[in-house]
Amino acid sequence: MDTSIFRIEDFLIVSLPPDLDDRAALSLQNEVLACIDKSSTSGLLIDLTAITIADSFMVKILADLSSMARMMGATTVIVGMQPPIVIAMVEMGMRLDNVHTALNLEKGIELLRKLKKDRAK
Amino acid sequence: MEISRREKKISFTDVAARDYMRNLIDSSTDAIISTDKKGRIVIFNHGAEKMLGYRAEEVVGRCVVMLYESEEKAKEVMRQMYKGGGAVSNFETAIKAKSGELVPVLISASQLRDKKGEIIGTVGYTKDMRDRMALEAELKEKVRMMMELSTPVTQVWDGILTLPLIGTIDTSRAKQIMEELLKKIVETQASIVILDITGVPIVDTMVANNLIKTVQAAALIGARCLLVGISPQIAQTLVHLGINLSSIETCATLRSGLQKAFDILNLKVTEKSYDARH
Repeated sequence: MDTSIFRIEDFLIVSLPPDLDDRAALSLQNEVLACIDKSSTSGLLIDLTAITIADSFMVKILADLSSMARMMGATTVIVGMQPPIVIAMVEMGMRLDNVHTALNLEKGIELLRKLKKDRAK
Repeated sequence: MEISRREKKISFTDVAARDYMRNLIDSSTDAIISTDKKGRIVIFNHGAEKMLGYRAEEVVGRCVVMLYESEEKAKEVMRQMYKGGGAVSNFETAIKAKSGELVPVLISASQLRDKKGEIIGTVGYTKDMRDRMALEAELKEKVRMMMELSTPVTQVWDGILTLPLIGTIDTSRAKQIMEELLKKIVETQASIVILDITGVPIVDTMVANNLIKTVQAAALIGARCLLVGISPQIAQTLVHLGINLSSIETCATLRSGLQKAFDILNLKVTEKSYDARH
């Protein structure tokens, strides 16, 4: 399955497809980390707009990916999370610690720029 | 001579008693319908005439099943009566008026027995529930309206939403608040939400938990929540209860919350210069 990974400035933008299964999620993790490794990346932006169902495995993959990306020097921002997913996560007590969130792609990139500037200080 | 006078007196009392009983039955606003043991209607009082639109003469002698929607419905009442040892009280069903309208009713019925204990028929007291049903429907509509009114999420500025909460926040309301708020955040793409709890009289552990959940959900979706309207009493209660709100940004008043929101968005409200005013 193809997941689109774009690069803007030194940010990586990953847009998840609506029908992401567990195996595809794991291979996505590898792919993204490989991309971070290939060229200098200060931010990782994951777009969940298309995802309408998320289970605890998916949340764990996202949390892991953000920890891994941080170790490799990239801050993670998640954008476009849908209300049903958010409600399910809060009700089940699933947490996304140390992950930044934004409403949409534009605000996500804005946030990445700001975080980068803060780190440079 | 003596005997015949007494007989006369007795028969007179008999008639008076019968009239009195008849009066009693007819004066009831509920429908009273009695049947013989074969299920044929014997008494059909004024209340029944009024409720169902039949004249007593039209139905007396006919089978009581005609008043039900189907034979099955009639049997159901009978079954309930047998199950209750010869009586059933406040059984919810519907009966058919002359116009064909189904009238929702509560039926209390019992078997009639003679002195030897033989069943000679049944009598049913039927209460018209139409008014009650209409009231209930109205009440439900009112509750729905109130629930809608109770989460007035408004956009006060570009990117700033406010949600003034009034009244007690129970679990079902908290859920509704969260859903409504998330929907509105996605709709307006607002990055700041001001939750105003000035109108919430009691903040206990449950309410606090619900608030924390709402703030977490808003954060996940990408909006920052400010909790404002924390009165001295509420601050005291929260600390005494050991509730930690340190994960939430709080302000004392809506005014200071709005000021903070402007700060976050790098906005500034200034007075117009003299020239601009004139």
